[in-house]
Amino acid sequence: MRQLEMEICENVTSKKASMEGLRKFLGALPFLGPFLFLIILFYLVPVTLTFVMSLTSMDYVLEWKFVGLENYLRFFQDSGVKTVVLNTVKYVFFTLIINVGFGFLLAIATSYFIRNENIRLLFQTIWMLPRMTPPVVYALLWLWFLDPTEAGMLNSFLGKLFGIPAQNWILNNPMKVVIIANGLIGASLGMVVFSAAIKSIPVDYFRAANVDGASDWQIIRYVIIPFLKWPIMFMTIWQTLSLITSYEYILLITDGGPLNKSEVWSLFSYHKAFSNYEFGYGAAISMVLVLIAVLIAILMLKVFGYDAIMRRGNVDGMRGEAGDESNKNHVAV
Amino acid sequence: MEVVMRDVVKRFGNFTAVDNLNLTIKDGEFVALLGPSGCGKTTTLLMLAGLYKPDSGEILFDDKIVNDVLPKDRNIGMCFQSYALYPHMTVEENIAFPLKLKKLPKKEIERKVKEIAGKFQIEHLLKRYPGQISGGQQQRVALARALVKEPNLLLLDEPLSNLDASLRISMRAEIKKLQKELGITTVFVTHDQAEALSMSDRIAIMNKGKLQDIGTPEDLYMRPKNMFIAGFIGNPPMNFLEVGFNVEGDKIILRRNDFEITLPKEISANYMKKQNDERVILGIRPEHLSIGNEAPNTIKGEIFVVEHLGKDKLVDVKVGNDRIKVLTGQDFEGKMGDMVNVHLDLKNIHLFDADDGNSMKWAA
Amino acid sequence: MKAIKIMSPSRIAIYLLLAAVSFPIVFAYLWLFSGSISDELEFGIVPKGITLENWRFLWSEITIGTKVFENIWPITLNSLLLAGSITLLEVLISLLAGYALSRMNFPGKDFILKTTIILHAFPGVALLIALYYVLNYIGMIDKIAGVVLIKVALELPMATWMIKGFFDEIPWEIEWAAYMDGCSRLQAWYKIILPQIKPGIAAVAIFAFLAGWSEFIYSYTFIFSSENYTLAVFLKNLIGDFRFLDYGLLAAAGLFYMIPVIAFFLISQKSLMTIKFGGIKG
Repeated sequence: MRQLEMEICENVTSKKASMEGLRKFLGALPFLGPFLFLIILFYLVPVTLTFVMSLTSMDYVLEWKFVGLENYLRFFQDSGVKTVVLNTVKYVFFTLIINVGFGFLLAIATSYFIRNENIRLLFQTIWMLPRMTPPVVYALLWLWFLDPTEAGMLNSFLGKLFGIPAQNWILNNPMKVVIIANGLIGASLGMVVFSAAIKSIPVDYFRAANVDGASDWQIIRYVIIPFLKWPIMFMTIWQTLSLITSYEYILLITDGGPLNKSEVWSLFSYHKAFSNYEFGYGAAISMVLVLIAVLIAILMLKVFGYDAIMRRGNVDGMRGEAGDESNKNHVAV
Repeated sequence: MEVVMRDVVKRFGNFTAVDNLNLTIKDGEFVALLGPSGCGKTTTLLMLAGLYKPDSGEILFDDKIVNDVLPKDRNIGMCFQSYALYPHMTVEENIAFPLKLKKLPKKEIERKVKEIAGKFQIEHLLKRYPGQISGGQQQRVALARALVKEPNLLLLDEPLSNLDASLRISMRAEIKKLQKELGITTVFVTHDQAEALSMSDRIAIMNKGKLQDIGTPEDLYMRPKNMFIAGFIGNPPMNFLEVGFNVEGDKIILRRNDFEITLPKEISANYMKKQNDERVILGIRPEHLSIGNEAPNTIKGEIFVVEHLGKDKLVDVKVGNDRIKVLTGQDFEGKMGDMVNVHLDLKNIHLFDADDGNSMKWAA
Repeated sequence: MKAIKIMSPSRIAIYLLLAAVSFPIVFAYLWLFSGSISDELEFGIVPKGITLENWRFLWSEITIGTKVFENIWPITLNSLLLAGSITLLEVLISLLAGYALSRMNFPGKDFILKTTIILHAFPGVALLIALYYVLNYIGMIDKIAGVVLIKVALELPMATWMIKGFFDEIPWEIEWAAYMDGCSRLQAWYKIILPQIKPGIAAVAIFAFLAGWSEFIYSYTFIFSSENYTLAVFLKNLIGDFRFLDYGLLAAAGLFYMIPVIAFFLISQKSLMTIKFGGIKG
């Protein structure tokens, strides 16, 4: 009898607690409502839709004709897919090297070697330019730079200096162009993130190293790199994630051409959907990609933990500290 | 306004910040909540403010339960440790802010702000921003802002801890005088016992979420109910020595291998609670010890160090493995390493239970 | 007091190397400028005679064969509308949500926080096909408002996260003081808290505007009617048709499109410089 009473009591308190929770949630709703609405409408719904669509043969009429796993089977048998996947791997791998490697060199050069603030600022600004330039204009600059005629900048340069005849750079090396163009944009991000990390190294370490008579190279090797280990790992995973799904610049510069030579996975899905109007098939291609992206995201969370990412939430180098206000959130208002 | 807290409990997850607190603050009284950091005193204050909600128990203002009354409707003035002035408003706007929210007419707001600014001598600062005035001035502005709406209750959270030493002492007197003039019920959180002793009518001393005792400064100083209170109140703090307890006839003998103290009959009568050979804690304040000639009923020890306190000297004496502090006059001339005899003022000793730390005389 | 330092050879080498790799970028942007004001360039970037002919799209229609391009001003207005709406909505919604995530305690908060981080890294463009369907379903396809909503939604996790960070740095005591002074939660939010994170709001707003202004893929995919074109789409079409014909025109149009970006650079650079010089003056 006594036990029963206790259970009833507990039941009542847990009900009370959930009422309290509901009250608190409703209190937060005016603040969170618009946010949640947009997130649901443009993330949750599309993810679900992408999955459902991938099971249909939807075309531009937008009709739901379910075909089971046909799209997926087609994807794994499609002869073009092999090129696309290979391209994607190449693209992600080499762009990453530029993003992280060159970004790292830029950061070291501007944040460690250059002591004059204004010169540092000048170089960092120059390298931020491609990132801030609207993609269409950035692509235009590349098209002009690599213009196949003799008036093209690279052609006229090489022609005048070395007598090399004009050639069609984009047609001949589409992947290289795409990789370098994307690489430069990512490199500025790497530069900003790594520079911030270098600046956050306590100056005492540099003083100690100087007192110990360390050379520049030794300081980089034994002071800077150990501090940059985590930012480098973070950038690598983060950039992988964004590279496998980004295609804006490729679309603008080569549009996947010539003959699919620079077609990457995400662009492939785009073309299937918006050039061929095979929405169902395009969705299936996207779905596989989303799954891979989610796996990488989970890997990232596993490696770094939520807290670390919360603190480093914003990779664009702006502020984004997560406060630990565990107690204080109990405010009763 | 009378404030009553009844069986109040506040938890943060598994941590109980305030444990079953019962406290009555009389109308017009100035009460200090005193305790080490993490003792629950600030949580208590925030519950009075309405910023935290008690998990159980009741808070009453003049017999009305206010658990569910929002802070803005409690008519409380509060002054924070960091002053919490609004950095984007001038001093004048800061002080006027509570009145504006009450939608008072402009003329009246102006008059009230002028009046209170006069009282705190900050008229010349009204057009400045908080970042442009000194810490002491910010403190005055914060007090003015808290008081301008004529609250029923004034809450002060470590208001003096960010001031430098001399300003702190002059502010103590000023706040106390102001509180008496206005007759406003005031609760004041501090970890500084000197502040609590000098300012408040009564002190509620807390430790680990529990109220240890509430009483006048004299009460707590003269009649500590347990070792925590005894050790926390008084500066320099009380000395504690573990001794064996023996009754011979109507006298108590406190004994350990390096000394033996026999308590006279009239003092022994207070402590006849223990069996022979039990361990008890002898507590005695440095000001109730003195250094004198060799005599029975004294403690022999070696001077460890002598600290100059200005008016007095504080002598650290090594007794066995313990060290006790003795307050002596400026004329004391002992040096490090000297052997001395410490005399005890036996009327002012305290005995505590070695197990629970409660006073054998004053504990309820 | 200034010590004269002799630069080490390795340092000089670094400077030279950095200058060398940075040169093409500077060169490219200089070309954009020179190319826009001249018909012919010498050594790649030195203009031979100045002309405003390349800027003719500002006052007359441009044609290629029989094809007539749209007047640029309504399109510029569209771009402004797009970027402005994105900024406004993004700032407003992230201010509300960031506050709740920073300062309120409610069930599901932890879940929302973690989801926000994941979304932060989530490939929004991979959902383009489904987004097309959603827009079509709610009748926002081929409308600027539709692109606005999508862009805001995709940038919200990042913006909210940043704003949350700004809120986190405001001491609780200030907010408490506001409640004691008689504020409701909403009043404390806009009277006390918001004024203190103004610089943060400005930063988020500037980035939202630039992102909206530069936005290409969603406008390109979801807008078909030329009266709803934005500058990005307009320029993309221009490139397609004029690429081998008239780089001067393209350079001028590109430069025109870049005005807000350039303005941002000049302003931020200038403010950084004044901080520097101000510091030296003491």
